[in-house]
Amino acid sequence: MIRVVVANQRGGVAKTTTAVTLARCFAERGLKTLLIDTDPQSSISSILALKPQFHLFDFLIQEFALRECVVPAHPLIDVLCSSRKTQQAEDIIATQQSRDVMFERALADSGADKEYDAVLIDVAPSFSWFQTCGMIYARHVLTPVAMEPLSVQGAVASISAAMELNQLFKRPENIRVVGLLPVMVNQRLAMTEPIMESLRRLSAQRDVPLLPAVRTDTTVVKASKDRKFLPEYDPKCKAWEDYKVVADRLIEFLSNEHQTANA
Amino acid sequence: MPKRLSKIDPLDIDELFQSPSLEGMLSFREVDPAMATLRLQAPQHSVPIGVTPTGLTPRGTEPIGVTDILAEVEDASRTGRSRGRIMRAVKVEDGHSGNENSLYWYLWRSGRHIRNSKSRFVQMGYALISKSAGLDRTNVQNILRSLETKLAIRVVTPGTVKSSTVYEVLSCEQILLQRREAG
Repeated sequence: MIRVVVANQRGGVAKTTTAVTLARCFAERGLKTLLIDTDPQSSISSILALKPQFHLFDFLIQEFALRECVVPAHPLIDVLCSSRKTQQAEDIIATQQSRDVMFERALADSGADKEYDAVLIDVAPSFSWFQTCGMIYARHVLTPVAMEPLSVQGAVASISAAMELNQLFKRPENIRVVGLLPVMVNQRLAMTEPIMESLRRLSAQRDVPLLPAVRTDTTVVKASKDRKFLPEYDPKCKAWEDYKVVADRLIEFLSNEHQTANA
Repeated sequence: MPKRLSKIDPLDIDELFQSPSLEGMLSFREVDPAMATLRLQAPQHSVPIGVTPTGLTPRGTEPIGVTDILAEVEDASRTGRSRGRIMRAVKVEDGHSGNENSLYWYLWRSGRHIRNSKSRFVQMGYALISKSAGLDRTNVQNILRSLETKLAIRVVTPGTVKSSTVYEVLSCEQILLQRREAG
């Protein structure tokens, strides 16, 4: 089973776009995917024009069944949407002793592992309880990085957070950043090459794979305006082609890791 | 003609990892669940804005900083109370039992600043405190009496049939000063 958290402690680096598009890529490969939005801004429901009756708050705090809280966005994609009450859920979770393993317990109890082939979690930029819960549950962190210095700093912060959590919990399976994903890449801009070089160095220094870049594409904005997945809006767009390559690399990487762990 | 800018260097990764902005990444975890419960239950305004027990103008322009509260709560939650080990009472919390400490911080967080005063003021009855702090009413009465004896709070206006008691919750600095004076 694939479990990935899409995180970068910098806003506006295409975390949500990456999560949504990767979910669509996984669905394209026949994987039944659960997409969880833990950002109180609830961007996923806006992007995909979803109108859920129940949200993450109801699932975690009210303990509603997962099947009642998710909404289908595609035959193979279910979305557990966020709402402004997610912030309240986080405050409540902070009061509980088992706060770190909240996702693990709730999703295990609801049978998500049997129901889905992949779980993608989109988190808010700030490092908080849900990001911790997400990282502990998924153990794999994908970090999209836009072509600007603060975005790299956000990626560094995400890697540091994973390291600190590993030190804190000392679990047999460490939290790993499974990829730095350069997004919104425009080779004609002067900042692109220095940032790409920084990412290469970061990748080499911290043993984090550098994934193939996703080129900048206005189709992404147009598709979200039309409340559609990328291929539904324009199946030939650059970003969709790039994300498909990224998804294949991720599936391959995570499958190999799974096989190695089993061996 | 403007001079062409020089080549942009890549970022220094080591410098990014050593950035002070990464310090305290997991600091939000240091708040004890019990403290987080009290924080969640604390009413927003125990005394209505504009109405203060002493009749002074409220210090509305300087609201209580969340970071200040959290820092103090974290500090309080870290205070170890080892059994059987004699230790010098240096901090305010050293003179409090666990429940006294929780209730003191609860009152402090619920209170409001009054101009020119280091204390905070809160108007609450036993029932509300008991419900909000998750403590038994009798325990609340005992703890409040104990806090008063330990010079952590003062009764400004005793409760009547129509209104609740107004407490002055002294700051840590004031408490230590008073305790020192009292010997």
